[in-house]
Amino acid sequence: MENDATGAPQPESPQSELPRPDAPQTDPGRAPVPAVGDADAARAALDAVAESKLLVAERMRRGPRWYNPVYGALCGLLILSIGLPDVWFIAGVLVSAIGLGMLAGIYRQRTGIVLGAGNPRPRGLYPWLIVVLGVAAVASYFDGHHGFPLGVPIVAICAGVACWVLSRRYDAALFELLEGQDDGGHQR
Amino acid sequence: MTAELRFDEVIHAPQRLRIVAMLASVAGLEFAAVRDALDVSDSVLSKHLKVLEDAGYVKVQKTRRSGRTWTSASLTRAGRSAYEGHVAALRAIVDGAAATTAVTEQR
Repeated sequence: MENDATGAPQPESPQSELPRPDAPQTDPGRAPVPAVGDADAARAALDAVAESKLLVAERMRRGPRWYNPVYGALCGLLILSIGLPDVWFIAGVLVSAIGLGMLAGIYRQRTGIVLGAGNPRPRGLYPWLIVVLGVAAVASYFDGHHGFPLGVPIVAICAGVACWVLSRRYDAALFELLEGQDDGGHQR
Repeated sequence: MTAELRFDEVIHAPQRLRIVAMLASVAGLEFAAVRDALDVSDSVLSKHLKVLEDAGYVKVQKTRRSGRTWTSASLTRAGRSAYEGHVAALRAIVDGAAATTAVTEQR
């Protein structure tokens, strides 16, 4: 908010943060600032943004082809271990956690991309993953601890396949996002 | 959600805009991945990352793995917000020019 002559705050106009055509260059080492109306420089900058996103998409494609099935298998193992007795539960959770960590490490080594909380989140897929894992975890627990042990591996296999499919769809949606024109609003 | 228009001179330098655009697409990137993508030397990339880090837009992390030090960079919340505002400002300039052209052609 800016103050006028009376000191009363004035709302900023949408273009108040845009440089004016006669704005001086504060740092001669910096790139020329596109002024309002200097659309060519702004367009070139947007092209550079799109090109950078394509470079990231290209690096993502270097990830191992077996990433998604292994991810699904580890999720399945995690669900399976929830329905197992104490010692097997701890062992299963440990193995799946270490496996997921190693998988992220291998992906990082091959692509240079760090997986974590800041990854883009294509709309619609994350809620499904959470629902699948949540429902499967509850089902596995009740099957394993309340009299239907055969249900545990069935639930685990279903969850593993669902996570594999969702992981593949996530990749496809991410490529679409990076290769498209959407620049924001997809962050976790 | 629409980003607030905010032209950012720190981000606008060509190499820095590309660095930030790459980082905005992922949780983080290895130093070598950014360097190879931009085709610049280690020192040039380090300088740009330092400027972005000093502005509070980028976080650089070093981790030791397999006897080597790996450097990665990620955007901070302020950096992501600045990037989105900057891209919105660039779009506004382009859209403004397009609207002006359309009005001129109608006359």
